[in-house]
Amino acid sequence: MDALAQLAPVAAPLLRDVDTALLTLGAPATHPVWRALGRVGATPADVVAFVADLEPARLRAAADALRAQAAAYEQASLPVDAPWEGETARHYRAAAEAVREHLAGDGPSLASRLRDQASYVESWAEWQQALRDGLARALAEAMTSSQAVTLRSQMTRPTEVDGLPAAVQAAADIAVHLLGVAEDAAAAGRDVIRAAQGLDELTYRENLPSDPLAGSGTIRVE
Amino acid sequence: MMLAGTVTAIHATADLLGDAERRLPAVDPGATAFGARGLGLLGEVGQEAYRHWQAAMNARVREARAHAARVRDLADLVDHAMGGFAEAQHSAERAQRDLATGDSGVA
Repeated sequence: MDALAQLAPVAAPLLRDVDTALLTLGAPATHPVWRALGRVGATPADVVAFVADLEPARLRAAADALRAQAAAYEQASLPVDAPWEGETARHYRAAAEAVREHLAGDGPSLASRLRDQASYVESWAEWQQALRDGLARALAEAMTSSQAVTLRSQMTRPTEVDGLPAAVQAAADIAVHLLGVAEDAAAAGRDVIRAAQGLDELTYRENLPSDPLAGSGTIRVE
Repeated sequence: MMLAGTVTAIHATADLLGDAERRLPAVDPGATAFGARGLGLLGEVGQEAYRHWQAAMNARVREARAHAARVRDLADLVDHAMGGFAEAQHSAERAQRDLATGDSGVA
């Protein structure tokens, strides 16, 4: 259980107060929370609930499965040496070498593509974990902030209107702090996707002798 | 490696690729795991990440299918050679029998 899994349930009442204050009381006109809400497109409580549900372990399991498949490709036995001689053998050797290289050779291969895809999904798992950790830190800061005290005091005494302006400001401050984590994470997430290039279908390069196959040959009995 | 061993190894590799083609789609952890069902900006980024994954996975499946076919072609090439070998062996055995019985086959 990571920090966010522990903090999210404890922070739920504060997040509910933040959302309620924003929805019912609004925020100061020039407060950056308006811009943050517009960009993130979700309230702080929604963001925390969404991120708390993310399970990077599921993505890591997918990465493990892809790497296991890559290892199976690498371990496949594809004999290149033909136990006979002649034109058919020459064609076989050329074709087998190309097929083996494409499967798991030193250059780009089906095995390396699987490993690259595993790295991509693992990067996405790391991104999710970084988002969870960043949000947990921001939540901890918000929960121990003076704004949290101000907001919660007002929400427990809703009839006392003197504290309303401070409560509105406090809710907006907490919201912008949490939404900022989501905005930064979104930018980092797009970087992860952009960095994961070279996952397209690998082109096969045939390597056959140019002369036609006549079918003659000598069998080498071993 | 003997011809039969070569054929067995080639067929095993073709089967491996055929299995990969069938089983790789099951590796997909799903849109929710990527965060593609979220609200707003984070949901959009999750959707982009998942689309990228899906395109890559479709490419892996196509690669496995196409390569399984190439490996089967290799097996055909060996079968072709084995056919020639069997024919040559029958001819040699027939010739030996003819020699043993004194029948040269020439009238």
